Amino acid sequence: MTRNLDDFSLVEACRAGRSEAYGVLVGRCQGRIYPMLVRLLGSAEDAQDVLQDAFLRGFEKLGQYQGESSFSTWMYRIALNLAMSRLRKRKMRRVLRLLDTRRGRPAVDPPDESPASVPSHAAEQAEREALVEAALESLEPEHRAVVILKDFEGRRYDEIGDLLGIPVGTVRSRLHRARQQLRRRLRPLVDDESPAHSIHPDVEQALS
Amino acid sequence: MSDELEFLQSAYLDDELDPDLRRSAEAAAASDPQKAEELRSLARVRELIAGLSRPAGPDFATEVLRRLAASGSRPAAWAFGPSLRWGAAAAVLLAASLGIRAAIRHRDEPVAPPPVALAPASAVATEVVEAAPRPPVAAEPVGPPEALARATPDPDPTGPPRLDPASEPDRSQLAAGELLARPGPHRLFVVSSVEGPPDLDEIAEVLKLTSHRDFYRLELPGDDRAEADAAGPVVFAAELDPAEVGTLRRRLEAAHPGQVGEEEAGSALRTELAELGRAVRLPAEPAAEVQFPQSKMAIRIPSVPTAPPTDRPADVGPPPIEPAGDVPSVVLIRIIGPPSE
Repeated sequence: MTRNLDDFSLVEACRAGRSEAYGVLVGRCQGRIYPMLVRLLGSAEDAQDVLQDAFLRGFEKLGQYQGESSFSTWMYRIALNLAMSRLRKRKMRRVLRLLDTRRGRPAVDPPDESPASVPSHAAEQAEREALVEAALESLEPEHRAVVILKDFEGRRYDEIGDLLGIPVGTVRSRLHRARQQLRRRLRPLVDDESPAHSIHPDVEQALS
Repeated sequence: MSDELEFLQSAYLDDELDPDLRRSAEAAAASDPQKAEELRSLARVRELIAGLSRPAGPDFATEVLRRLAASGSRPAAWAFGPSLRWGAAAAVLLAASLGIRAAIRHRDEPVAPPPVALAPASAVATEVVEAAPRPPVAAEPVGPPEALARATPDPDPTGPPRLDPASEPDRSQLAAGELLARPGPHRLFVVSSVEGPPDLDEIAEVLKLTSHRDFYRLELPGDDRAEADAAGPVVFAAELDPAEVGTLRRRLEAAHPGQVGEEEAGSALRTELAELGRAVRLPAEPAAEVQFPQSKMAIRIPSVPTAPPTDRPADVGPPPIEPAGDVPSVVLIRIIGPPSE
């Protein structure tokens, strides 16, 4: 029966002690949030950890949900915040690992960024994704988040600013810097001139 | 092209410009083939990201419900909505106005004099403020910025990230951040502990005896899963005079012979430490260093003076210590355990 209720009615049912209603809410929004987390964190395992944690925290915070946005948007924000927290901690661990490496400890192999390691035009999608993923991994957490929210999720600048708590001008500058960095790291893929990849109607129209 | 115009390139691709700026961006790209190529490559980057697959995840509902049942979690009580908040405010105002009216009604009635010890209201308030114990600066660890506090769960992941909580930032945290941002020499000592886990207390003790200024212990977020030191790694930060840096170097080397590395501490590292570290202020208790000669001693007998090797006068004793300048250094110390097998 709960499956036919709208989100806010389900939230009210949860507050009334019917926790099975929360399962319906989770089922409704997990598919929207999970891919974003995988791309933001670069790991399915981390994405699952974070999303599960987000759902648990969301349940505890249901009292704060006022229905001003959809439940999935509200959960999206929680999951994004937790993912950002994890990204920043990961960055710090990387810094410390670097420090340790300088003292002769085993280093983590950096991603191979040499042109020779880049697959040919006929490379499989999996290899291409691995390269893009490695390039994303090199970005600062804040830059990575903006790129994922814009280019992977297709959100507008004002939405991204709202989600990350930053002005639109900051979204614009971070996004541009991040894309420039990705452009340098993915040079062989970016320069790929195969017909399937060289047509950008919006750009060509503007330049014609 | 200025930064502003450069940023317009991406915004142009995303159709996030107003018509005037859009025309500017188009004109810039059309008049400069290099910029046009850059625009194409940025579009290609955008396409690569957009083309990443969207993996389907597992079903979380069952596991989430199981964990909620196991933990006995319940949703927090309803937060007051706007109407309820106004209602509560109105109730407070009503109660206050009733109190005022009652006071006015009874103001001419004889009342018992206040107890002798009772001071006027304003004085009481002042006394209370002054009597309130001030939190000991040295003992109070301060939360990391916003959503980073995982040891103590995120204050509220439902809000936008990176917004400061309402509470006033702690002085230790601010002071540590200020120290790490300070200009001047910045040294990083990395100490390898060859036996067992890092002894952080030992390093703190060395710093305490060396520095005449209070210093900071910066606790960094640990790994959520498999980090050896679950509490997270620690970096010490201090401001030392040149002579104190030399003393610290000797003391660290004496405690960990051959295991002390030293290099410049970059600004990126310091910024990240300031952002992520939970600062605990520790007091200095400087102690003079007594050095005993380690080699045989001999009385030096003045010989026939020869030409001094430098323009330094020949009779001024030992050569001067390498000038280190008189500017204090910001010193970081990181101690790491033995390499894992």
